[in-house]
Amino acid sequence: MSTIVSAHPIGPDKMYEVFGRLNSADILEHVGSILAPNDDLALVRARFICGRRYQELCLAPTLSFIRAAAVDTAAVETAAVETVVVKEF
Amino acid sequence: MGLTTQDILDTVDASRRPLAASLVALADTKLVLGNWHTTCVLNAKSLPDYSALLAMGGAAFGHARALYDYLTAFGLEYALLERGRDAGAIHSQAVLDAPPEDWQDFVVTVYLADQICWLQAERYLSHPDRTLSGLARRIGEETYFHLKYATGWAAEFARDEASARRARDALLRRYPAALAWFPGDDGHAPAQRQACAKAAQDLLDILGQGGELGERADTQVHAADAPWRRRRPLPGRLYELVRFKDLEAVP
Repeated sequence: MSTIVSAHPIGPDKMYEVFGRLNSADILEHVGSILAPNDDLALVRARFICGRRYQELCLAPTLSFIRAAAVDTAAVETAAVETVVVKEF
Repeated sequence: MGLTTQDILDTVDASRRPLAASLVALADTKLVLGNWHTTCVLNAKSLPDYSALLAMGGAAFGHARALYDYLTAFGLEYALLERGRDAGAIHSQAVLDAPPEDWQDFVVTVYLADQICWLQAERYLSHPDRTLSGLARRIGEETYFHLKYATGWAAEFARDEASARRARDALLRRYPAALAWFPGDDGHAPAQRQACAKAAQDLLDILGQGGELGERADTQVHAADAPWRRRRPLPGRLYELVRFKDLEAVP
């Protein structure tokens, strides 16, 4: 077989979070993260990289998650700093 | 000249020969498909893609071996099936005979081959032999992800007109050989050809390439390629890839 040479634009990879459950009685557990340009390729890569043993895999784009802890902490720290600065004036 | 497919199948009881022929063809196609994946794996576009290709190749080899093992119940010899046949006795789909010309061709061809394999295997989902129905179910579970791989890549090809056109050209080039796998005189063939046509059309739609595929099967060229009719040998260079080269290591 010849070597395949091809150049074509690929969309930018997005990060997906992968969750799985071993059987229907289990809760979904986070099993990893995966980079892929679209949902179909993310599903395939999750299946083959994160494990075939899961009865069910669920994926969601990482950006779709609301990161309560990280966002809130940053907001609190920023507010605290601002408050101190105001007091010094 | 070594054994042909027909020579091997002639040793099977006549009443079970059509089933054996179909399963040998399915297993041989999986064997060649696995070699397609492992040969082309270095062309993967990223590390996750590399892993996915290797896994899909591994799955195809696994299916081939499971089917060869099942065929021992027909009186066929596992060692002969897996590594004892020459190019004239390996009965894979003609759609896999020519090497991929580019990445688009690779994706389109493995999509067609997986789709055809599944159309063949799904007939055994309700087979009374639970081993065979279980094998068919397992093949179906894996095929779902293999087809997703192709449709995922097709969506990427659709981002670029030139890339999408190359994929469409590859599809149109391979499609007649894919359709020829379902011979006109087989009772299941019309539905299988229809399903194959729909799958190809679905891929065209994802590629954003309009137009109808229509009936493009070149029946004169490919009439001999149906599962139990293939007469021509596997192309020499492909056979060199497919054949096991460690015969001396086999006890």
